[in-house]
Formats: sequence, structure tokens, C-alpha cells
Amino acid sequence: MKVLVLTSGRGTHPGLLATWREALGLVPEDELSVLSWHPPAARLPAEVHVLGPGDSLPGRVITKATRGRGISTRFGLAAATSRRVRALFRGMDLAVPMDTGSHKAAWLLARREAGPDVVVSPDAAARRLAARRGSAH
Amino acid sequence: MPPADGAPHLLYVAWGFPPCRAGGVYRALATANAFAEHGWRVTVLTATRETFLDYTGADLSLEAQIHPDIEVVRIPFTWPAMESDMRRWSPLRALAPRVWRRWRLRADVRDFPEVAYGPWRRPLEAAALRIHESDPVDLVVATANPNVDFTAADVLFQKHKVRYVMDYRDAWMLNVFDGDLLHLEGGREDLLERRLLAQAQEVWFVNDAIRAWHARRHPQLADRLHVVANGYDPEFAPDPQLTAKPVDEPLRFGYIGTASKKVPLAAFAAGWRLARQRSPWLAGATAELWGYLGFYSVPDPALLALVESYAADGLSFGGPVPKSQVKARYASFDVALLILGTGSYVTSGKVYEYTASALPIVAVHDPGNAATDVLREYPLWFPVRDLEPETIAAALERAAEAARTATPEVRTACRDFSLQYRRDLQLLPRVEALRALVTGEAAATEERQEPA
Repeated sequence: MKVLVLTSGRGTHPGLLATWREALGLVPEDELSVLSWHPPAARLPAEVHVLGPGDSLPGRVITKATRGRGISTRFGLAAATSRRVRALFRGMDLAVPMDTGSHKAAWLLARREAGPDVVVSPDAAARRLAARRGSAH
Repeated sequence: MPPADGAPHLLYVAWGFPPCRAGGVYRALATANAFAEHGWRVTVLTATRETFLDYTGADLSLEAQIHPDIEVVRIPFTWPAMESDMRRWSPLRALAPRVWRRWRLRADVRDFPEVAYGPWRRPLEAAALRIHESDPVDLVVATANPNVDFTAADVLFQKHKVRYVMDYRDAWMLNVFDGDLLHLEGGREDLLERRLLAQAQEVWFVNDAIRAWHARRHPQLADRLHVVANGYDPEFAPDPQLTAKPVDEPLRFGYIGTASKKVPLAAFAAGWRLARQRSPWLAGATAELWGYLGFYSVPDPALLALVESYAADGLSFGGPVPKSQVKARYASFDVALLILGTGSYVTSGKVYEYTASALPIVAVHDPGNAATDVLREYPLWFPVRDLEPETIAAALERAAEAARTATPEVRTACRDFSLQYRRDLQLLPRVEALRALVTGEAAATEERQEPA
């Protein structure tokens, strides 16, 4: 399964990623990608896409245009207007926002792109993933 | 007893019913089954399976325990605040979550004053009326929580004069933890409860402390208020241990349950250390905590650190015990540890299960806890008058001695004491009295004394 987690938090590290994998019930064959507003604290064993300050366009453009807004709004607009992110999102089986700051990004992407289940709590996401696995067999 | 032609028809209303795995589901399951066992035709009105699969978690094995003659009618229950599928979120919720939450709270209580459950009133009432139309209902038993379940009983009473029972797992107005009021005196909830209580045929509570509180508040209704204790389910409860273990093996003290921060673990541990250091009865003894430390699957770090700091004293935490292994876990104990928080109106369901073990029970809790009333006559009960380490140590020592010396006769007396708390026996007098009420027959247990 291809799973995308979204986070607006700082300092994402490999230990946190391992916790998420466990919470979501991922198996080694599952591919985990991370869409983050902030750069991670260390190199992660996953495909990582950073949208916030310091990233290449269009995140920087959006950041400038929405200056004064909260991170969740800036993250949401940056994600929803990025072709790269939208293509990434389309190819997923499941997308899970891991904090409230990433809810808007997940919802705006879900409005624009068909494809993955978009589930807000890790427990519910794990159940959805298990159901997908069951129906795939 | 299979339902006969002309058997009375019970509508049993419970939001939480298998496969729901919440705590109150065992009472709901046992109540519906008890009526079915005693010749009623039972229709259960509850929420769809998806409600529990999606929101609360489910235990599918519980569905196999529903009496085969029971008809289960499931209606959708929407729980917007718990909706995890973001593709179903409205723009307002996604883009202005605080505004959405305020709006949602108001919408929740528009039809019924209960956040999250209020919107279920209309579908519940409609379903109750449909059921009655197709197969007239003789009696409704509605179980809280949630309190919205009572509205199904109310609508059938208002429109068709069907009599009903209100079954409380906790209370509506009373905060069972601190004795305060949960809602305003004279407020919407209070007025609604007063009207529903006044119409009810019977009202059931889980212990006498809660019943007595309501009897003081509604003295004109006192004779309709009954205790139907939770009791224990024989299929899950421990088997009685009627003999002591060999003297060359150290004693094992055991606790099974959820130890929250309200549970006096620190006081217990201090008393345990004292007793183990000075009493020969406790030489090499161990105290094992099983279940949960805190309310989550991951142990509370502070409670875990506390337990680990007493590791050299034989104190340990073993983790959760699957339902199927509870009997075996109890069988490994020589003394049961009942460590509870304070609460005059709270009776832990574990109390009844503990008595079924016939083991010495060390009751480490405030004497004012409602568990005291349950255990007062238990032959191997070792209570404390306060939570000082010295007091707890003395109770542990007396229990350890009893674990070695109690005769099979005393242990048998413990087993016999526990039988009154079988859940089915708690329900039987009420089931029979209500059958007599709706059929006009004399109740078989009318002359029996009610169990506590």
C-alpha cells in the first residue's frame, strides 16, 4: 500500500516515523511518504516532500501570498496548488493528516483529487487500511 | 424457556449493544438475554454495527452471545464529531473548525440535551413507533448511557401508554465520582428527567448508594427505584479456588483492572513493602498488577515508574489480559487485590468478579467506596480503615495468613456468598415482576428477598 502522512510539525525524526508506521499498522512492503510543512530534523527512511519556508516554488510563492495566515492555511494552499504534490496524492492508497495543522491540506487535496482514502485519525486509518488489504485478497 | 405464543413483547433500547465493546455492553447483553431466557419476545433497538466498527471499536465475538430468539433492529447513528473520512467533511468544518464545533454543539442538543447523542432522538422515536406498529410492545426497557435511549420509551408511553423501565448505568443528574450535580437544578435535563421518572414503571440503578440518592431527591418515587447490580458474568468470571496452594510456594497477590491515577497505587506499594519486609507469611511473595496503568493502551509513565521502583519488593506490571485468559490469570493468584479510587457512588464491576474467585480479598480503598457495601459480609474480606502504609500492611498480612490457613469450608462460604452477584440472578426478580405486571400472572420470586 502507498500511504502519505501529512504533518505541519517541526522536527520529524525517524523515531516518530516508526511510531506512525506502527500506529497505522504498516507492513515492510508498504511505501510511506511524508508531506511536511517544515523540514524534518534528520534524514527519514521515507520519500519526503517539504512545502514550507525553505522549499522551492510554489510553496515559497504561496507563503508570501498568505503571509499573516496560520500555518494550516499556508500549508493547505501550498499543497493544493502544487502539481507535484497533487500528482503524489493521486497515486496514494491512503492519506493521513497527523496533526490539526495539516487538516486543511489533506481536505483541500481530497477536494481536488480522487484516489486515496483520506482519514483523520491513525486508528481509523489503520482500520481503513486493513479493510483495503482484506478486499484486495 | 423459549417464547410461547402470547409471550409478552419487550422492546429493549440500548445504543451500546454487541458488537460494541464499551464497558456497559455486558449489562445490556445480559439484560436482553435474561428477558429472552424467561419467555419474553425481545426486540433490541440499537445502533448499526458500523457505529461500533467505525467509532468505538468492536468485539465481534460478543455478537455470538446474543440470545438466538432476540430480534435486533439496528438504525443508523451519525456521529459527526467522530467522522474520520475527510472526504465527508464540509467546507465549514475543514476551513473554520472552531466555528463548526460551536455550531455542532448547538445542533447536538437541539432535539435532546445530550452532546453527540441528541440528534439520535428522532430516528430512535420513529424506529420505536414502527416496531410497535408491526408488533405491539408490552414493555420498554431503556438503558442509559446515553440518556437519549429513554426517548424511545417516552414516545411509546406518550402515544400508546406502553409502560417502561429506565435502567441507569450511572446517573443523569448525579456526578457519581464527587456527588455533585452534573446539570443545573431546574434546568432542561433536570426537568426532562423528572418527567421521565414520574412516568416510569420502574427505575434501575447499579448500586444502593445511587438508588438512595435518587430516593432522597424523589421521595414520592422511592418504591419504584430498584437496585440491579452489575454482578459478574459466570462465563468470564474466575472459578472459585477452594483449596490453598502448597506451603513451599510463595504467595501471589494479584490485581486485574484499570489502575488510573485515582487508584491509590503509591499507598498500596508502600504498604506492600512494609508487609513483605516484616511478615513471614509474605516471604518471597509477589504482587502482580494486570490490565492497564492509566486509560490508554500505553502504560502511564508515572504509574509505570512507580511500579518499577518497587520491583525489588516483588511488585510487577504484567499488561492487559485478554478476556479469554482472565479465568486463568485469577487461577494463578492466592490473594486478590482490590485497589480502587474513592467514590461513594462508584461500584467497580471487578468487585463482583473478585468474589467469584473465593480468594482472600484485600480491599485497598477508602472505606466510603460503594464496594464496601458489596463486600461487607464476604468471609475473606480484608478492608482498611485508611490508606496509611501501616494499615494496608496489616490488611495484607492478615490476608496472607488467610491464604495459607483458610479452610475449604470458609472458601466454600466465599463461593456461596458470590452466587448472589451472578448477573442473571440480579435481573431475575425484576424480569419476573415485570412479566407478572404485563401478563397479570403472579411473580414467582415476589416473595424472595431482592439481592443487593
